[in-house]
Amino acid sequence: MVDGVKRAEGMGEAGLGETIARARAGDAEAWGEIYRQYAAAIFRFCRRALPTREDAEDATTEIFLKIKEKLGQYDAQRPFGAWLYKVAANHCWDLLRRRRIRQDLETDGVETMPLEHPDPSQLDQLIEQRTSVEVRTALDRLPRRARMALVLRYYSDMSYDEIAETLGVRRAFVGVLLLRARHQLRDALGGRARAVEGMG
Amino acid sequence: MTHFDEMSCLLYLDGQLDSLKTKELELHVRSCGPCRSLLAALQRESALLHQAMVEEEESVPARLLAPPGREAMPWFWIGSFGLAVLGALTVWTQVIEPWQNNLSQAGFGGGNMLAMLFFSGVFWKGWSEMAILATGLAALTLAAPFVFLLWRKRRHLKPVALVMCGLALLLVFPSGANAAEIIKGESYTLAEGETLKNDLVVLSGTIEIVGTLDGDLIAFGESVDVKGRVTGDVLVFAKRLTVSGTVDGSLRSFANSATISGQVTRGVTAFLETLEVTKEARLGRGAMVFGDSLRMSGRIERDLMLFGKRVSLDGFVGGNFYMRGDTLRIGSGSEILGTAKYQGRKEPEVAASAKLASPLEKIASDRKPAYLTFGFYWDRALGYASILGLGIVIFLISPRAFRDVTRSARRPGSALGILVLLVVPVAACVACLTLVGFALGMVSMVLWTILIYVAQIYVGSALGEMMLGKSNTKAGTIGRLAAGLAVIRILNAVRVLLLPGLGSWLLFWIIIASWGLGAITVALYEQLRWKPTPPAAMAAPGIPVSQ
Repeated sequence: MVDGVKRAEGMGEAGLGETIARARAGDAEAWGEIYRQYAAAIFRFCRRALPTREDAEDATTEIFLKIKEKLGQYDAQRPFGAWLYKVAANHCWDLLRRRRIRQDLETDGVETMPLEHPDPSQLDQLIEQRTSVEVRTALDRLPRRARMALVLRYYSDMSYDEIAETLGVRRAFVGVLLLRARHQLRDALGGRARAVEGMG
Repeated sequence: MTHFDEMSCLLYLDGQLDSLKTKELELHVRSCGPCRSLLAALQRESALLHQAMVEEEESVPARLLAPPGREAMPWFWIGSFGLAVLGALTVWTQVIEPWQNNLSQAGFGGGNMLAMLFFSGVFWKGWSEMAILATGLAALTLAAPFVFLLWRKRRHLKPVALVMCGLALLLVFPSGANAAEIIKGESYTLAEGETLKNDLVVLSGTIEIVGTLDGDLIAFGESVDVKGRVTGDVLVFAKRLTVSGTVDGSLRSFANSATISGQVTRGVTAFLETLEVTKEARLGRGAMVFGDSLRMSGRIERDLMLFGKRVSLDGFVGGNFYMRGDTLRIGSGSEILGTAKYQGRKEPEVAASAKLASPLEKIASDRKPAYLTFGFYWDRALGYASILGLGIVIFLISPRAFRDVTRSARRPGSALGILVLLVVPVAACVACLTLVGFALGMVSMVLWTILIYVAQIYVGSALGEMMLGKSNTKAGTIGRLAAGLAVIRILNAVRVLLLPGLGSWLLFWIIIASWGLGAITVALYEQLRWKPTPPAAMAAPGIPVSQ
């Protein structure tokens, strides 16, 4: 789980559960507490998933309004952070689809990709040379679904099942989606860890 | 040796391989350097990705520090609503009520003015009879997208959808009416001696009623001539209207020029350029006329209200007389039994032999510039209060939709609003030309007019955000709306000072209206384009070929 959420959950399961119960009962202070604990993490999630900072700000607000509405539906057996990310992910994905400016090239029909064996040393070299900032810039250039898949996996730490449900794809396709997204990211980073066929 | 592919390695790292494949892979990498390196590289890539994503490289914006939702400052609401209520009350007591009184004195009966104009007498009956089929179609057309939205369960659009469905239902249930006779053609004549016992709707070049029509007449034509008798009401849209026969009901007319030399038993309402009421004419009730040049002779049994540039009166008025315009001439044959008032720029000419129950009272037109009067500012404040009040109501009904439209207003796409501004009335006119589309055309015109007024709210909201930045709180959004609307009004005042005149007025409001309409259209378009998530197929965890 992301640092922000980890920290937030550091308030202790019992403490958190109690705060949530109070917020459900309409306690504004408890709600404020939850908000302050998680707002930064959710904002950062939106920042990674959406094209602009302004979009991320708007989405964060809207997500918390949604969370407030849906708090009654939250199942206390599940981790709260995961539930938050689920709501946030659904919201951002809806937003991206509604605002679709261009049709992404990717389609569900293309479920196969060449089964390559990239040269590990080239990949290593690429990873060594690139900084976090460069990765984030490259992320901005990815098609929205590839980007979303990476964010769900590596920011929200979602399971394949959750990713499949959020993006509305078959579970078996999630791995393909993630791997293809990595390839696109490598391309965007400027280096190509080219496949080396028939190696070894 | 066959290596494991990248896909399998990734699935392995993510714990997605089944136990058999996992064992196989683990066994393989023990003896395979390249695959081991690949696994390590992928793992490092995962770490880099995670690192890049969770890094807190920028601070959380200040406006996100406090939770959104219901916040303090209820006084703002109370103030705004108070202002809006006050505005509505003033409009009612100062404008509508006096009007109603004038109207009922003029013989138009009590009741609400709007109801009188649109829903009673010839207007309403004609409407429902003529257009029952068309109304149904229009209602369906209107309701369809909103039912669609409801079905989509878009929470924030639900109230809007409900309101629209309600409106559509209202349209579907007009009073049960007999079908009127509807006639289209080059020319139409109800011949002498002929009697038609039905309501009649005619769309034709020339229309002549020489015989007897036992019902209402609704006529659209170039020239309409009522020589015979109509027992019901008459509603005319025409270039020339002549009434030399008898109308037992009331007469409402939108015409270029009209001549009345016959008898109208009930009231007359007319919007036209020139009107001549000849000496032979007899109007059983009062008359209210808006026009350019009006010559009134004949007998008018009750009140006469005239709004025209040039008016000459040379007949009998059984009630009060009121005229507002440029010039008034009261001829020698005139007789007014009630009071006589005139509000105009030039001195009225009153013939010495005219018989007036009381001397003509001249209401002084304010000579001092409008902006030196209190009323001028009160009117402005009222206009501002009503649009702000409406804006707040719209925002409260659906804050999310309001913010969506405001957001669209800040994007260049909203410039396309100019198309909506131009296309809708053209399309509505085209629809009106075909009878089936009449109701649809009228409904879209009404909606369009409402939207033009509403458009400035979103422009105001967007301007407010541009000046003060975005806000999440309700009070913040309303504050920005208030500021933005004020800016529009200040800009308009500056425009009046720099470029007074109709042209600049028109240009200014065209810009505002098209901007707002564009934002509404873009936001609506984005809503409608939204596609539902296909149910996620929860297939068994399948793994692509691994070797």
